[in-house]
Amino acid sequence: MGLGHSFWQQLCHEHGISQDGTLEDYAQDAGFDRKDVFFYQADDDHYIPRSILVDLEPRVSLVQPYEPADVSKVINNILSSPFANLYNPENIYVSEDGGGAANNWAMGYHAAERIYDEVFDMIDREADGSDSLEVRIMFRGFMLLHSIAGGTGSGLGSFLLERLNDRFPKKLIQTYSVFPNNQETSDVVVQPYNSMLALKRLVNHADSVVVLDNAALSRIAADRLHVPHPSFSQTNQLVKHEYFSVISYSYVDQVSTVMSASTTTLRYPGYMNNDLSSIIASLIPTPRCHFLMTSYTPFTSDQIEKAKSIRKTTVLDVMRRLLQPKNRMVSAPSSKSSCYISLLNIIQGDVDPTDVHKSLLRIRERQLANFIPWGPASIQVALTRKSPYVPSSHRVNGLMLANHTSIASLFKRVRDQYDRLMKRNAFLEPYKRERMFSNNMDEFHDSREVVQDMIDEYQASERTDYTEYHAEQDDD
Amino acid sequence: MLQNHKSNIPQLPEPPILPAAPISSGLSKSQLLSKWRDDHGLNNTSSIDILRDTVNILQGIDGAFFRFEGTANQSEFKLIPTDQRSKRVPKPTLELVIRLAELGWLYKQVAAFVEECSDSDEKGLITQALSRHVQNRLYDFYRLIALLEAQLAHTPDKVDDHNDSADSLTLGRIAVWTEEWRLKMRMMSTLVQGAADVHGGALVSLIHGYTENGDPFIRAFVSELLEEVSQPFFHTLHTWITSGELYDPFKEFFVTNDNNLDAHPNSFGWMVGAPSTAEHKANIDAGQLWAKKYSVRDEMRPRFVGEAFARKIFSIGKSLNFIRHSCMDEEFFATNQISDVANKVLTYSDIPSLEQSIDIAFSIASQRLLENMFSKYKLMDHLQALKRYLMLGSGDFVDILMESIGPSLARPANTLYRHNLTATLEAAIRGSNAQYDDQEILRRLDARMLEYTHGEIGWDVFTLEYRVDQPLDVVLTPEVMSKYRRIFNYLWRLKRVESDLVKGWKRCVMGKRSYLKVPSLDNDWHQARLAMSEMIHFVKELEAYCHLEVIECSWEIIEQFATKREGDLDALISAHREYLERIVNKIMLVGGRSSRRDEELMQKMKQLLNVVLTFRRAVEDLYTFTLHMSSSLDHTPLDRGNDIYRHKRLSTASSIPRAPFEIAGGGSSSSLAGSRTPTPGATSAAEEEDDGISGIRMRVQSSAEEFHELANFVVNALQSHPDLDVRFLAVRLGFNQFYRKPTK
Repeated sequence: MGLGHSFWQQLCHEHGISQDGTLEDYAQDAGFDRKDVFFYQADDDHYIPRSILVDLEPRVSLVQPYEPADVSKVINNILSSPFANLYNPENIYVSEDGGGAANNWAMGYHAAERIYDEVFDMIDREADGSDSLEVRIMFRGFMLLHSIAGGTGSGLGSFLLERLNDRFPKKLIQTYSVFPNNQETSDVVVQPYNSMLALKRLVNHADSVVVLDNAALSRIAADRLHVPHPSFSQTNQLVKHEYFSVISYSYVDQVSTVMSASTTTLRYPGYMNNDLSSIIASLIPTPRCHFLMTSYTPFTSDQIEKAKSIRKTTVLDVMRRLLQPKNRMVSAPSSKSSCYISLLNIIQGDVDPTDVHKSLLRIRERQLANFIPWGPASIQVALTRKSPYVPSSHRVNGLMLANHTSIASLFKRVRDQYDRLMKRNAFLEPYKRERMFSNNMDEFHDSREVVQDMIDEYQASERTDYTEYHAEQDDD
Repeated sequence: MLQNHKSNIPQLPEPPILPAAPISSGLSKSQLLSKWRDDHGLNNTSSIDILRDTVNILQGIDGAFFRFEGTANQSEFKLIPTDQRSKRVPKPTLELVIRLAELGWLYKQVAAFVEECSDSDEKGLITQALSRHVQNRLYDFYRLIALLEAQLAHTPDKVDDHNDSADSLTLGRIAVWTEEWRLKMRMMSTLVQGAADVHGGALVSLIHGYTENGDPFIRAFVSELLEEVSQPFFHTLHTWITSGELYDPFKEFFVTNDNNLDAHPNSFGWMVGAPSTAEHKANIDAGQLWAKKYSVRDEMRPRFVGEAFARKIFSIGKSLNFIRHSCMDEEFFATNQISDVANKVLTYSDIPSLEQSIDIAFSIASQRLLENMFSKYKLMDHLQALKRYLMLGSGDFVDILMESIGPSLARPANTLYRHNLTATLEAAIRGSNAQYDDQEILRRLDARMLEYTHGEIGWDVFTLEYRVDQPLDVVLTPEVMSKYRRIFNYLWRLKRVESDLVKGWKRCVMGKRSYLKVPSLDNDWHQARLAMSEMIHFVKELEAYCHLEVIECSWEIIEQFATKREGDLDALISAHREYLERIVNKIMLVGGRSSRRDEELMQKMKQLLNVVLTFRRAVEDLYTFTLHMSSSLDHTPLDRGNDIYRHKRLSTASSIPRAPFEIAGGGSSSSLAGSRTPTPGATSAAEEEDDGISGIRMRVQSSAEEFHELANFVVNALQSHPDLDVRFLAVRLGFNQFYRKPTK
C-alpha cells in the first residue's frame, strides 16, 4: 500500500488533483484526461480514488527495506500524510486484532478469510456503486498491487485474487506484483514459500501480472539514478517517507512510475488502447503466459534527480533503450532462444508520428528484438499525451510492456530456492500451525506443480511446435 | 486636335492668277494634239476631275469616274471605272487613285461600324468605347477632308506645267497628306473588323495584340486607343475587387457567373440571416456556389493580364463575395481596407502598379477569408471533431458507443429506431470525454442509418454523421462528407472486428481462469487462441497503421496550412482535399499497379474481416459447448473448503468446482439451460462431446485457416505495393517474418 499510495499520489499530480481531492486551480480545463478511470467524483466535487486499502497491522512502526510494497505496513503512514483526506474512509480497512501476517503466507491468507465480508462489501460498493450506465460499462476490472514475499501481500493478496475471480469471473484482474530480491539473502527466510504459494494464484486467478522484480529495481536505481548520493530534492522526498530507506524509496518511485505510465492510454484517451482488456488481449495470447515485464526510459523522474538525465530522447532512442535488457525491471537473463511473445511500447510526449515509423524500420533492420516463431508479433506502439501538470525535462519517455519468455528464469529462481528449503523441510512449523497445512503439505506441492507447468509452457512457447502444445499433452 | 492638324497639313498658299492662254494661233503642236483629242474624246481626263473624284473617294463616296464595288465588310475592294472617260486616265495617276481609294474604302468600313454601334444598344461596353474612340478619330479625318476640299476649290481646272504651283492640290499631295491617315484608318478598320467577331475582354486582347508591333507609330496609336477602350474593363475590375460584385451587363469580363446557381437573381437574400436547415437544403451548398458560381472565361481575359494574375483577380472577387454573403462579415467592408488599396486609379498605362495593388488586395481578401474560416467559423475545431468522431480518434467515446450500440446493430436494419441510436450516441458522449467538447460541435454529431435494403442488419447501415452548414460547407461539401463517411464506415468496421476479438479473447483467455476447465477441449481452445492472437495482431496493427501512419501523418497537411495560411480559400479547399484523399487512398490501400489489383486487395481485406466474424461465431459455439460440457461434468456442489486449491489437479469428472455460471449472451444461456440435464453422467457427457464438437471444431479450424491464407495473401500483396506507406503496413503485419511468400 505504500506503493499504492505513491501510485495515487502520482496520479493526483498528473491529473492536477490536490491532496484533499479537489482540482487544482491550474487543472480546471476538462476534457484533456479521463480522471474517472481511477477516480470518482463525490457530490461535492472531490475526486476520490477508486481504491481500497487493506491493512492487517495497524501499529507498524518499522518498515523492512525489502518489503516496501507490502500491503500491511503503511496505512498508518497514509493516514498521517497530507493525502489522508484523499481516500474514502469507508474504503480503508485496518484489521482490529492487529495480528498481522508475520511474513507467513498462510497467516495472511487466513486473516483475509476472517475479514472477507467487510472487504468485499467495500469491493462490491466500488464495483457497482455507480448509478450511471456509462460508468458501469467502463468498469472493466481490478488492479491489485502487492508484494509476494511477505505474509500480507502474498497471503491476503492470494485470497483476494481467488475471491475476486469467483465473484467477478468476467472482470479483468490485473496485478502489479513485486517479486522479492531473491538474489540476496533476505531476512524473510521463508520468502520462497510465500512466493511459491502466491505465484500459484497469480497463475490461476489473474489475467495479467506485471512483474516488478526488486533485484532489477535496485540495480536500475543504483545504475541509473545514483541513489547512494541523494540530492537535496531526494532528501526532501525522503522526509515525507521517513519509514523508507533510500533504496526502498527508489522502488516506490519506479513502481509508481511504471504503474502510472502503463495506464496512460486509459487516462489520456487516444484512438487505440483506451481499454485495458484491449491492451492485454494483444499482449497475452495464451492464458498461462500472462506475466509481463516492463522497461521504462528515461528514468530520471523529476522527483528523484535531474542531474543525470538522458536528454537526447528521440523516439528511436527511447524504443531502442526499451529493448535493452539492462532497462528491464525484471532480472531475467535472456537465453538464445528466449523471445518476445508480444510487445507494446507506450510512448508519452510530443512525438512526430513519422518518427515511430522510421524507428520501427530501424529496429527491424537491425533485428534488435527476437520474436516467437509460431505466430505474428511486432512492436506495437501506442502514443499518448503527457500530463501538462507534471513538468518533465524530457520530450519523450516510454514504457515497454512485454510478454517475454525469459521471464520464466525468474520463476525458476523462485522454484530453485523453494526446492532448497523444501528439501530440508526448513521453516515449515509456522505454516503447519495454520489450518491449510494442518494435515499435509499438498498445497505447497500443488503450487509448485502449477508454477512448473507455467515455466514449461513459457519454454514451449519459444518453439515452433508450440502450436501442438496441448495436442502433445493430450497424448500423455 | 485642331492645333495638331494645322501642323500636320501644310497651309496651302493662295493659287496664283494664271495668264490667259493664247488663243488658236500660236498653239504649239502638243496643244493642238490635245485639243484634237479633246474634241474626239480621246484626251486624258483632266486632273481636276480626277482630284474631285479622289476627294469623294476618300470619303467613301463613288465618284464620277470611279466607284467602289462590293460591300464594306469585304477584305478586298475594287475600284471600277464608271465610263469610257476613266480609261483615259494615265496609268500612274490611276495607280495613285487606287492607292488613295484604299483610305476611302477603309473609312467606309470604319464609319459603317460607328454607325452600327450608335444604332444598337446590344453592343458591349468595350465595343461602345471603341466606337466612341474611333468616331473621335473620324472627326479629325473629316477635318482633313474639309481642308482638302477647300484646297480643291482653289485649284484651277487646267493644270499644266506652267500654272502648276505649290499651293494647288495634286494627287501626289493628297497621297502624302493622307499617308498617315491611311495607316490609322487601316488600324481602325482592322480593329473594327475584329470587333465584329469578338467583344469584351477578347476585344481588348485583340487590340492589345497590336501594341507588340515594332512600328512605333502603330504602338503609340494602339496604346492611346487601349487606354480609352479598356476603361469599361477596369471599371468592372474595380467593382469586382472592391466589393466582390460582378457588374458586367454585356458579359465582357473574364469572370462570369452562373445565374442558375443564384436562388434569387442578383442577390443572395437567402444567405442573409441565420440559414435554417430547411432553407439551406433548398439551396445549393456553399461548396458548389464557391466552385461553380463564378468561373473564368479565359478567352475574355485581356492578354495584358497574365494567367496567374487573372486567377488572383478572380480569387479576390470570389473571396469578397464569400466574405460578404457566406461569412456575413460586413464589418470588413465597412473598414474599407480593400477599397483603399484598389482605389488607386486602375489604368492600362500603369500595369505594374495595378499588379501591386492586386497583390495587396489578394492577400487582404484571402487572409480575411481564411481568418473568417479559422477564427469566426472555427474550421480547425470542426476538422478536429471530424477526426475525433468520424475517424474514431476519440477512442474512449468510440469504445462506449461500440459497446452500447453493438448489440442492437446485430439486429435487422428495419428494427432499429433512429431515436434509439441518437439516445445511445448521447449516452456515449456523456460517458466519455466527448462531454467536454463544445456544444456547437456536439450538436452536429448525429447517428443514423443509411438507406437499407431487405436483409441488411444494423452493422451494414449504421453511420455517424457530422452536419455542417454555411459557410463551412465550402470546404466540407457533400462530396467531401461522403468521403468522411466512407472512412468512418471502414474504421468502424475495423473497430467492430477488434472489439469482437477482444470479447473473444476474454472468452478464451480470461475464461481459462474460471470456466474453461474441460481438459479434453484444451487443444481446441489452444488452437482457437493462437488463431485469435493472429487475428488480434492483424487487426490491431491495421488499425494502428490507419490511425498513426495515415491519419496522424496526413493531419500535418492541415496543420501546416493552418499555421502558414498561404493562399486563398481554394488553397484551403485543395489542402483539405489532399488531406482527405491521402487518407482514403492509404486506408483503402489504393494506388496499386492497377485498379483491378486494388479492388482485389480490398476485396480480400473485406473477406478477411468477415472471416474473423465467422471465426468468432464458431468460438462462441465452442464456448457454449464447453460450458455445457463442464456443467455436465460438474455434479458436485462447490466446496469452498480447502479443496478449492486442488481442483485443477483432480480428474476430469470432478474437476469443475465453479457454479453457478455467469453466462453472457442471452441466446447461449437459454440454450444451455434447456439442454442441461439433471443427472448427467460422465459417459453421456462423452457422447455429447463427440456429437457436438466435431462440427464446431471444423468451423473453428477452417475459418482460422482461411484467415491465415487471406492474411498471407494480403501481406504479400502489400509488400509489393507501390505506395511506401502502404508497404509499411506489410512491415507492421509481418514484423517477425511470420508471413512467408506463398509457395506455388
